[in-house]
Amino acid sequence: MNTLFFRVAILGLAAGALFAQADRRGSLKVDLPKDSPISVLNADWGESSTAVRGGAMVLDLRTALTLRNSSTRRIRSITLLVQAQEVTPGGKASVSVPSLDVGPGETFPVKIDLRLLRPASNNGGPLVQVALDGVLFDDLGFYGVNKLNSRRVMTVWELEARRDRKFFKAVLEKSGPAGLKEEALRTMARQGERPMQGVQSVRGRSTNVEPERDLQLAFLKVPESPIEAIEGFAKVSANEVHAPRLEIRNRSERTVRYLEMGWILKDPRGSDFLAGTVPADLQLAPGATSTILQDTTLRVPERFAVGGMTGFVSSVEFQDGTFWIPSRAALADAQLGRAVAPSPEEQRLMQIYLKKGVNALVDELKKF
Amino acid sequence: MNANRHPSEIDLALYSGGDLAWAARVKTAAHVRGCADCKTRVAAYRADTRVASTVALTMPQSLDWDRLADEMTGNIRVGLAAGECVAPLVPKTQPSRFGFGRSWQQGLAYSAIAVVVMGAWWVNTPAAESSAIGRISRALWTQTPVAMLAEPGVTVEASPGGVLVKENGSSMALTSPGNRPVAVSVSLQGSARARYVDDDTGQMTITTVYVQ
Repeated sequence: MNTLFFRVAILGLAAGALFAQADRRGSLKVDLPKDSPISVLNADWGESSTAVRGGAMVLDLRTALTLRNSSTRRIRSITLLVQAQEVTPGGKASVSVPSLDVGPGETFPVKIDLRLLRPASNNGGPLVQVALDGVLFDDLGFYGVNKLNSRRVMTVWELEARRDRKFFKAVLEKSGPAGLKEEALRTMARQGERPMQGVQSVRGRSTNVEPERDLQLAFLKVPESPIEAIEGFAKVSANEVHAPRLEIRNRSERTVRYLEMGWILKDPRGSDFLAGTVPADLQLAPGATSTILQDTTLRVPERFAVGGMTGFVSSVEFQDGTFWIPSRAALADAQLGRAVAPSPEEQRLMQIYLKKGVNALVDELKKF
Repeated sequence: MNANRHPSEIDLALYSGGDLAWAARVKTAAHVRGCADCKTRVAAYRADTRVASTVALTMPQSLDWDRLADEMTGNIRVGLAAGECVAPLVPKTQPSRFGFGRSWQQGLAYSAIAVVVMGAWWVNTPAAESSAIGRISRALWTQTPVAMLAEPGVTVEASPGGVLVKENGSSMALTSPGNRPVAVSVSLQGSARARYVDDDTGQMTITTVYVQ
């Protein structure tokens, strides 16, 4: 009889394990359109797991998708839309892979490492849905629903990638591998100087109990920028910046429809870091001025007291669909070069140098 | 059935009263169903139990309730008087030099309960709610003028741990286990972004969360 008990117990445990695996697999659904330029070749669920914490369920998804380029063009970037509508009614997410060079029929991996914390009740449907938001090709052509404005973001990444590859190739031509190595070391040193802080963005006023004060904003001058920042103010309380208000002027000869400004926060003790960006959709004719107002709160860790805020124009989209980004010459300015985040391509190239050496970096640059 | 495999008398007696453990009860029930002797014994035990219960519940005919109450009251008074006599001889628990009274065990028990409660709070309460309660408590304690204590809506966050969108205690985070982002930032339009670079291939992955 004891043997029978053991058999029943082992069967029960095995059934439970199979159910848990099936539950994890059913937690994520990848949904691609029929005419999608990419297809899912394989999905590895790795060490995905679910656990109950009090009245909540924690789902850890460790997914590695292998995607194939089903189109006839080379893919430069891809953005996948990740939604968990039932979990966070107000939120969605994306996973992007920039700086790709995937030819027709070739494959590439995309990792989705996601943690959901949600009430323990479940209606049985998939928790997470993954869809294609957009694909950018080497001719800057785009495919996708573009719900996340991924076309604009991926185009800026690609333009930055071309700018940076051109810069490093020029260094290679002028100074050879030794000069490229020196430039790589300078670039990595600059990347290493950039401090990283946790930052939050909250719609409207946050739960701060400190009184607010008005702070006048400063701006870094970028001579070639089509947009000039005239003045700006924000409300500041301890470690929060609320409702920034900017007055800008279009000094180019083309209408501007999108602008993104980067913001550096400064502590009274002297430390500073790039905290975030203020993007704005607008219709700004040549010579016209406009005011940008965001009813949002930017919150940094409590140990950091906001003493100053400096902005700079990081990208502009014109009405005709073309873009402006700062040139490498502009980024040579020490203050701007330290403020502007390195492009994804610059970070990828430096990783190749770091892991494989200057010859691998030379080979990589010669591919383009 | 072989007599050697009959349940013991003790097991049969416990079984008849429903006091056997689950596994033994199942085993004994299976045997009793197929064994006339044991079934008879179990029936006898149950009949005895009923008789004993009836006898125990029946009060003696000559019971004098008033006399019984007087005896109980007298015994209680004698007990109290005896307690007063021996009280000075019983050493009192010395209060600790911290003044916590006579029982350090009680303090230990309260501490253990406090640890359990705090642990349960830490495990079950979202960090944002704990933080908000902390801020409100601090404002009340310091009597700081409260500019506004609005409940925040959807929050997006970028940190060295990844990006996160949260609302009403639920959250969705995009992370990269064992890998720190090389850059993080938030947009005041309501998004947070983190960049990762694969150590081996150099492939970049950029995760973003958005407020809808």
